Amino acid sequence: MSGRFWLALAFVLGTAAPALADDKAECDYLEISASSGKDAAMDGALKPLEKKLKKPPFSSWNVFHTLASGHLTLVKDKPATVKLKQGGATLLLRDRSDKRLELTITIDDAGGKRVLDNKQSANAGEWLLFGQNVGDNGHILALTCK
Amino acid sequence: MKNHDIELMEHADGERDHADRLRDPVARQKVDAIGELGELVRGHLELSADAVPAARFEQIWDKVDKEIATKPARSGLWFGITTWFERYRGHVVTGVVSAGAVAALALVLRTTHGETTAKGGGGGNGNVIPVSYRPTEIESLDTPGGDSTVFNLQDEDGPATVIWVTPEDTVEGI
Repeated sequence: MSGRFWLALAFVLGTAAPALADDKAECDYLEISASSGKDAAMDGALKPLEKKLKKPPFSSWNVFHTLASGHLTLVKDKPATVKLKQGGATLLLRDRSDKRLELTITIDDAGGKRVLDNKQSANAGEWLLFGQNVGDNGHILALTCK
Repeated sequence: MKNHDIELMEHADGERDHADRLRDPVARQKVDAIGELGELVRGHLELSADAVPAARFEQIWDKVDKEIATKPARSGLWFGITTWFERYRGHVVTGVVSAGAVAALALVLRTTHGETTAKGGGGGNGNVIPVSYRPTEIESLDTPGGDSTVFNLQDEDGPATVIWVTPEDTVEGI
């Protein structure tokens, strides 16, 4: 078989690859506990969120620790479950373009009670923070997908 | 050979007209003999010409018969795919070229309409925000047993969307 055929086949597969990639999203998440302490403290893993955690509604607290973190690949229309230290979350990629992701996020608390059910269209690479009051402290799930 | 004979040959071949020579019966016999000889040679050559292709065809068919007999018939998925591509190579190449042209056009248009950025006003903190920036769109938000608030945070590290849920019992407690 001629080399030109293989070249053409490689080209077809190469151009088809981005189309396949459109059905996925790469996500990183951080589960964060927020509390108040005598001295401010923040884990190094939270450096990308440092400035944001000093603004309301997070500025009520000054101690931030990472409870869990991880990476997951979302496949379109296939829900992914994230097991958190305090509860759990389900993420669903409904659709995406180069710059926007249509996501459905549900979060349950440690008792399994639904806390949040959200559908949104977010910018790729932008941080999405979901938080709730747990007594005097805060519980935050930070998520970024691209 | 006499000059007389050459003239008779020319006459027999139709090259020149020497009809006056044919009054001699011997000359006429010679012309007839030359004509018969010519017919014999022409017929022999035509038969030879017909015989050569026939022999060659016999050889070709023999070869084809041998090929069919010795080579097993190829089959299978991969053979089918490759055969299809070979048969429709022209279509495939046309499709590939078209796809390449469309991809190139898309890249060119995308580059032309590149994102414009502007500095954030007011504070002069050098925070660069894309002019085409679209904030996160909340399509639906349900927080059973609590109230929700949506914040849009902006800083040097980029924008962020915050959804904060305040349980009802906390609201009542405030």
